[in-house]
Amino acid sequence: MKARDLLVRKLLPCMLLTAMHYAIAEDTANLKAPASQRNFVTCPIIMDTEDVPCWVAEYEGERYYLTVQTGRGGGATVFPFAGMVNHEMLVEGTVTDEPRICGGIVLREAKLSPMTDVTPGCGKVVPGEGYRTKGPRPIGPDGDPPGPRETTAIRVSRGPSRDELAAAYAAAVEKRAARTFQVNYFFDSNYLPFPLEQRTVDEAARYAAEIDASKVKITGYRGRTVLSTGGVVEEQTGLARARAQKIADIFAFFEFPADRMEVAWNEAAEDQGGVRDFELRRATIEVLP
Amino acid sequence: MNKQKNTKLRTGAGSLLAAALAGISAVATAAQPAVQPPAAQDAFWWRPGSGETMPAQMAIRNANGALGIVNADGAVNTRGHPFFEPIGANGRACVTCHQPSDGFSLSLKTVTERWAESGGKDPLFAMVDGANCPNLPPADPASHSMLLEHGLIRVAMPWPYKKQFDAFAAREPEFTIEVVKDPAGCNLDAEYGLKSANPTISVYRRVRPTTNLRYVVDPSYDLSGRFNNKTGVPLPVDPATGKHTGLPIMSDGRADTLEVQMQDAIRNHMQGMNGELTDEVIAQIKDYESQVYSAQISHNVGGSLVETGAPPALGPYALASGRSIINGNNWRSPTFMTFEAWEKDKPANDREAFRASVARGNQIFLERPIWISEVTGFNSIGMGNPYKRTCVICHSVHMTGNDFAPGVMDLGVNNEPWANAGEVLENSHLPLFKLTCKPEARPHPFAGREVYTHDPGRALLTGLCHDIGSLVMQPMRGMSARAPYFSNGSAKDIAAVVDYYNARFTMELTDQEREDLINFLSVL
Repeated sequence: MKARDLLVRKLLPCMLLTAMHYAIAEDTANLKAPASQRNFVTCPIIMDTEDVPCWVAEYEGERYYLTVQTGRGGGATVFPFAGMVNHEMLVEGTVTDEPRICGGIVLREAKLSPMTDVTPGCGKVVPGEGYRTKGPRPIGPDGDPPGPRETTAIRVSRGPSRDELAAAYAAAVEKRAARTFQVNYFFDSNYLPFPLEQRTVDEAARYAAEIDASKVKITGYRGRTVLSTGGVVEEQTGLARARAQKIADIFAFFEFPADRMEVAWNEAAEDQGGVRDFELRRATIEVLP
Repeated sequence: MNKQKNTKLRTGAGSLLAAALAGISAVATAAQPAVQPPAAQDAFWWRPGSGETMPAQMAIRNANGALGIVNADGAVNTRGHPFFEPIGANGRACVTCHQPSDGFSLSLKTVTERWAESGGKDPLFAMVDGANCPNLPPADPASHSMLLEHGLIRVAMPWPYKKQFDAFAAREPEFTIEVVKDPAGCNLDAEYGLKSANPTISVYRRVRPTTNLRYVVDPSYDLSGRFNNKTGVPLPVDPATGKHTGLPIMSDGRADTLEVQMQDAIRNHMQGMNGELTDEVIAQIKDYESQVYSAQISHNVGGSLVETGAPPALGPYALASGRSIINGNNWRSPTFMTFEAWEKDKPANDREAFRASVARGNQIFLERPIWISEVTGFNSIGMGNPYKRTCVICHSVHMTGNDFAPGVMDLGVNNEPWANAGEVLENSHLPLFKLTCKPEARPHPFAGREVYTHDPGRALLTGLCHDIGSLVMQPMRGMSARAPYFSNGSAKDIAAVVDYYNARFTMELTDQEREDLINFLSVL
């Protein structure tokens, strides 16, 4: 049996959805993600390629490339969300016409969210079929021996440098500017993803303290994702409040005065019609001078 | 912890040693210092209150060779010293359970010898935690089977937890606890058990070493500012310094600082104190613990581990002079540096063959890809499950090999299905608990909503299903002196540690690779 057949034959049975923590809303059956998107719930597949493992998924008989294993040793400097074997995984990505990677259609900026509940047998490691993810660093300790941080398999966002960020922060402090920070989450999760979202909240708290903010407005939201198959998956009710409350607890831990915090939440599940719906799984922190 | 300690080495009894160590501190142990190691002596019981002077350096035999000890501040006069005097109301001292011969832990060998020598009357066997349960017959060895047969001390945790242990504990526990099996009898006991007037969970854990602590309790390089990246909430703060701490102390991280650990030990293991736990007493103990280093110094086959040209991380001198707060998951400063000096394709004798095996073991530790899977606090935080890397990604504190990133993880030594190398948990001598996560709670990320465990670990402090079974990783030095291993003592020797990992992460080690790893761990 070819590995690809193996994926379909062996894994499809486990794709039967089990008891779910998230909800599939019944009154949204007519909603469907646009053709440019692939939003679906599936079981993760990790290809044991010759260098760094390759994460793919099957959808309607087609293979999609999602990401390489992340982390510095894997050739990337960021941790995009990643799935977990024995959990279903929500995939949200944009279809590209780039050359296939690991045999799959490339979904760029794919967001992978492991679903909350354990689903035994969902997902597995499969042979690499001779694919390589184009020479990122070997598996092992970080740093040298060198290899490119960026490969065709993963693109590292070139944001502002550390110095630029520090300068921007200092300028904002100098002006005592109002700033809004946005925190993004895995689907159906209140964990502040490592490292970016933890840094965001950390910076917001530092900034509020540094400018002696008169008010910090924390608002939690919950989202839903319009699926390519039609319908939506929706985060659990109460998550908007939990997200806001946790950030408020963190600010309180950092000794920001409670009477200067305004904590709110919006439990209406929001989407963007299947395009980058993950952006609405969020909390916002407004720091006012 | 005072980093200046390194360079503030006293003169006097340890002056030559101090000078040698100070001379290499600037180069961060790039080579072994030229120090003449002491002659090895037989292992011995350090009797609390003996008043003996502890030399600046010692070598104490164990089954694999000898453990070396360095007091970087010079010889220690233990008379009147609170680490060595029986300050506990039950006759115990700190040294009772943190024996020099055992790498400042407590080996099973020492426990059994002590029972034989004292007829079971040594304060080590105090009923409060040196017995399976306090109300058992004191003179009966069976009452102490956890300690006598497995080297385990009873740790009594109130349940539900007291919130002060963790600022981000669940407001209400996310799970219920049921005692499934209780071989030691304490969890179902009417007076001490879960349904007693003071509901208590008894778990049984190994004593952690009070040595090389500069590497353990120095503030970790925090990968994400002030946050515990494994849980996504801020790290606790040391009230004395205002700095964040990385949950490095005690198996479940319930002591944010050494001061808190001491208070816990006085209260729970010493049953109060003869006298007062003053700031001065705390400072004395902390000062002592902060300057004592230990590691294997010689091996029966491999010979001296600290001779000129030996691998630069080996032995206690390298620890005493090395820099801390360095991430070892890096080719620039690998956890145990290099073993290149011992690499040899065609060894000429047993010694060279052993050393070459150790070097290969380090290479496996650094470079052998394994599929790390279902480890809470690692695979559950967005890195993916499984994750293909090498041992060093977690064993990353330079020189000691505990985790550089703060927080707890669940390797699986206590939870089904990974505990006991896959054996049925109910056959174990350890208690077995069933924890059921409430419907509104997020389940344990890998064990699900019903978790069978020998030790709920950090979850007894946080009430979070996510934390069930999670514990603080231990340093890897001096292992030859302090069997058995893992928090619950389930690995009786170093081979069992390797076998656990081999099975747990499907390493598929050859016999030679297995031996290489065992040899490598035996010289740390």
